[in-house]
Amino acid sequence: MKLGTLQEKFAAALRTEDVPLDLPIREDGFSIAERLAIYRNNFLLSLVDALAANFPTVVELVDLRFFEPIARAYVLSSPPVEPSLFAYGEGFPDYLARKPSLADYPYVAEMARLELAFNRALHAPEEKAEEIDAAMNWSESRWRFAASVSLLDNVYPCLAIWEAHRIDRSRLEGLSVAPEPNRTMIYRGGNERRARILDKSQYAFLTALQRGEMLQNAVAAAQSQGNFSLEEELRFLFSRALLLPRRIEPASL
Amino acid sequence: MSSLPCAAGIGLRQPHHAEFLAVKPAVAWIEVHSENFMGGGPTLDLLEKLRADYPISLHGVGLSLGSAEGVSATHLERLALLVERIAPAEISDHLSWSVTGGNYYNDLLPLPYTEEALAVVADNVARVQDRLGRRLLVENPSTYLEYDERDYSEPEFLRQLCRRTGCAILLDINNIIVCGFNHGYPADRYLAEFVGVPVGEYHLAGHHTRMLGNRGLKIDDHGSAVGEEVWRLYAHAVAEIGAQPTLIERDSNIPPLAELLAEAARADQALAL
Repeated sequence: MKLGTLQEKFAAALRTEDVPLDLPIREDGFSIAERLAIYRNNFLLSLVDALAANFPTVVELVDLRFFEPIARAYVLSSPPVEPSLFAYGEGFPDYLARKPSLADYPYVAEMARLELAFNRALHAPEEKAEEIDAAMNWSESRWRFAASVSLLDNVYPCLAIWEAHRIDRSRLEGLSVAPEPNRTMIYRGGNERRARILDKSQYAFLTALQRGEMLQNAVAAAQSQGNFSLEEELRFLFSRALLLPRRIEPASL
Repeated sequence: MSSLPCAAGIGLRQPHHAEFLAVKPAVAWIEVHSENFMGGGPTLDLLEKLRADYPISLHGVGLSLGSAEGVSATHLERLALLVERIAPAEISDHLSWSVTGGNYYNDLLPLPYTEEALAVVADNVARVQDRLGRRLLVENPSTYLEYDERDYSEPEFLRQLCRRTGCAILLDINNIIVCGFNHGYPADRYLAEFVGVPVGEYHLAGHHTRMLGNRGLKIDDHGSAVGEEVWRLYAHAVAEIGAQPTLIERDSNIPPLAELLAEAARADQALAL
């Protein structure tokens, strides 16, 4: 059997128990199924553990007994695409949002989005602050965010719930999970993950830039939502190297 | 970039990060899992601080040197970035595969020791060494199955790999015992076949036995102390193959640092005999 074929079949056997086991494996003493089960268990359990480590507050919200079967199903449908497991679970929040058994707990998927954003903030590669050319055409300039930045539009008070679980457990008592719309920017400052509460105009400005719109359009989007100080906003972002010039590839000029 | 001293080192894992920075324990070198440091932020920062005090070995689990589809270019570039930054004393990964169809299966999956697999692994090792501009160490794995198709024994496969690529071997003593038990050959015979193969580092770890019906399989769990059987075979290896930098490896059930340091001291004694 060609090595590529063997590896495809082996992987299929890790992901489903009922595929035909036509692999050239020696049986002596243990069946092929028994031997493969050792690898399947390790594949599943180690990745369920990785998800639990990346989404600790989700685990606490739903309880480990309920989390495990959901995480197993996710691992089987979406194994990692890279070996750095701190990045595993990009699709987990959307997966939770689609889960019928969690329909009555919509804040769980939002919490997963927040934890994913915190993980990204903590592990994103570093970016160098770039020289900003003051003489540029500012109104038509386009920008990108540092890799540590996520913008979240929440229906539930996820940041408060997260802080109660992760920082100050005395706040768990009487904690509300009632809807309380809020907007947050998650980023890394120094070596710490940070959350910054945004008002509607800041959120409109930042999401417009994230979509790749020109600065003047992002400002217009912000102003349609209320008062907005471009100078203050840019000072915050530039001083932390969170906003960087979007480079235009020569080919697209 | 210095080389690892011919002494015992320990695997640095998350629960000991803060203690290491604060106490700077007396150990000759440390090994970390490369994949845990491939982002930015506080973890990478920690490694940059520690490299001033310890020679560092970057031990990978993600290159998937046995993948028929080749080594991921993205992953190799991430490793190259880390290597450039940390200037490690050694870089290693495993004789196994974990990627197919672009998915990563988070395990060191077994390879058939065939001519075709040897060509695949040799190509992948050569590609990694070319990109990094230096020698790689390849570790013998723990396995729970063998294939019907085989052209080489594992030691012979590794010898050929070294010959073709100029890599050397990270010889895991625990894995020899686990495989010998699981596949029914004496660990001493494996070692005897290994004489003459270039070894650049040893790993010492623990394992447990899992019962399936009335038969047991040894499972490499990196979650227990180095067993007496492993210490005995290690002494043989040092005598027959030679003294090399030796790692005390523990990835789960992480004990207090003092326990790992005590095991390192025992390995140091064995190296000095």
